[in-house]
Amino acid sequence: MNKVSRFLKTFFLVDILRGLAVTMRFYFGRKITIQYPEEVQPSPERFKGILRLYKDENGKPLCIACKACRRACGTNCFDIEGVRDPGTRTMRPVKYDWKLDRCTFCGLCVEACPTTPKSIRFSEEFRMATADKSRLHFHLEDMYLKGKDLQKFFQGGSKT
Amino acid sequence: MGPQHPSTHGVLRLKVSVDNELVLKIEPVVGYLHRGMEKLWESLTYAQVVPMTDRLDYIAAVSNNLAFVLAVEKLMGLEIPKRAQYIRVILAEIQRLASHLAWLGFMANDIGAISVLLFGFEDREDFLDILEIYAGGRLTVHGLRIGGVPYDLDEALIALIRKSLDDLPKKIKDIETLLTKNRIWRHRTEGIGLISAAEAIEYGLTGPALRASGVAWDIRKDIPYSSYQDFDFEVPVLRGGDVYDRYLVRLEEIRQSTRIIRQALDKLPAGEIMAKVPRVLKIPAGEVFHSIEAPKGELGFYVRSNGTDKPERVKMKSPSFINLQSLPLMCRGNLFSDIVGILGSLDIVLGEIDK
Ligand code: SF4
Ligand code: SF4
Repeated sequence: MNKVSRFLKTFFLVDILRGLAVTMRFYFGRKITIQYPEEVQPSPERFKGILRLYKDENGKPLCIACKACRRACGTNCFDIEGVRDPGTRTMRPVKYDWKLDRCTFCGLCVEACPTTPKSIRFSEEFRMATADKSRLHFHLEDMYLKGKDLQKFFQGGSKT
Repeated sequence: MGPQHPSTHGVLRLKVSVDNELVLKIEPVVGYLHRGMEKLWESLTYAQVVPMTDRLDYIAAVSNNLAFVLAVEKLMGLEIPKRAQYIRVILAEIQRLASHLAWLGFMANDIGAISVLLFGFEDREDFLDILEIYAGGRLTVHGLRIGGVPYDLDEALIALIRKSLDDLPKKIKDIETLLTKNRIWRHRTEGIGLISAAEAIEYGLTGPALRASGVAWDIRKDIPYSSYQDFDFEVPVLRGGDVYDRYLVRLEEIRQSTRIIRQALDKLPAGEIMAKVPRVLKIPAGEVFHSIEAPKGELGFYVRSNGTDKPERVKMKSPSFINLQSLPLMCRGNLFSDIVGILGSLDIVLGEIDK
């Protein structure tokens, strides 16, 4: 019996037909691909896009040039220099160089940053393509760029 | 064959001596992807090494993290909170699912079943999404820290994990329908790449490839770490020692992993997710070796500390590198076209071989 059924199964290509049935089901089933760039997948809250420096609600930079991010970074992405503001007695960065091409997106700098809310954070921006290698080295003013301005910067447009 | 070849999973070169279609001798040439990782780590602090380990076996980043942080914690004598241990198990098993599903796709693609590549990658995407929501990265997750885990699991994420686990059996069944009974698949895998239990032990084979040769050895079960002893799961063992059995063992491991994750989610204890770790991590002088059961096999880290915040020496026992050594033995007397199938069944990742 077993032998007969195995022969019949082999003869009528049961295994292949079963497989084809699965393939056909997928063929007519729901599509899971999306049409980038018309559709963009929403990114989760902790998404690691490009790093950005943030300002507080009054537009004042949050960074206090403490260099904790530089010490935390394993790949030496940062070069920071700060000065003390004579009026407010707080530190602010005068030089903040960050090298995108060295960054491994590990997030250690974000964890180390002592300000609340954190001055340096991952943004949602994942488009970092550029034809100009010098655009991978950010300076203080570039660290605040986002959206269209950032893309313009990557495409070699004027530095803001 | 290689170094640039679609079926070598990276840049691996195989010097193959053939007699017509029969393989006489194979000599793997490795090192094309060497980045000097172990040396590099000596100049980094312990916390900075953890994200670097993501880049070894980039198909299963969390497993690498786990092996390294466990080694360092063992050296510190640090007690990890139960909740963190459970979350680690959940993440590591999710990573195992993702790794095995990716392997299934690659392997089937090597043998010629391209649709399985697409199905496997679609299924894996669910688990990569979970990791991305958890830690922000899909491949280079950086999901663990020395002393615990960086984030807690919230209700929404737990619900998502459960949903993905519920969906998985049906998807695996589809893949099984395509492959397990398929005669082309069986012709290409049964009796191919044979290795006996004694030879496997002699060559230091670990992981699913060892268990497909009839040796019941799984570090999760035999030397439990990170609370694996709390969970009830089976270690699939088959005796064939061929490509087909390696495929079946991995499929069963996928099922067992879902069991472990379900149990861990059910029993998830309340409490801290990080042990008390000083900001500047100085590890007491000494040396330690700790190994875990990564998706590819036994992954171990040897760490020697001289009491500063940087390791003096880190040596890695990478499963892919050691499993690759048995490739010449497995390919002996097989057809040339079976090399890709056998290589695929070993589940190697070049990032881990070349370090
Ligand atoms: S994410 Fe990591 S690699 Fe990138 S700048 Fe921050 S610390 Fe450095
Ligand atoms: S970004 Fe944060 S950690 Fe870095 S210098 Fe500014 S305040 Fe300090």
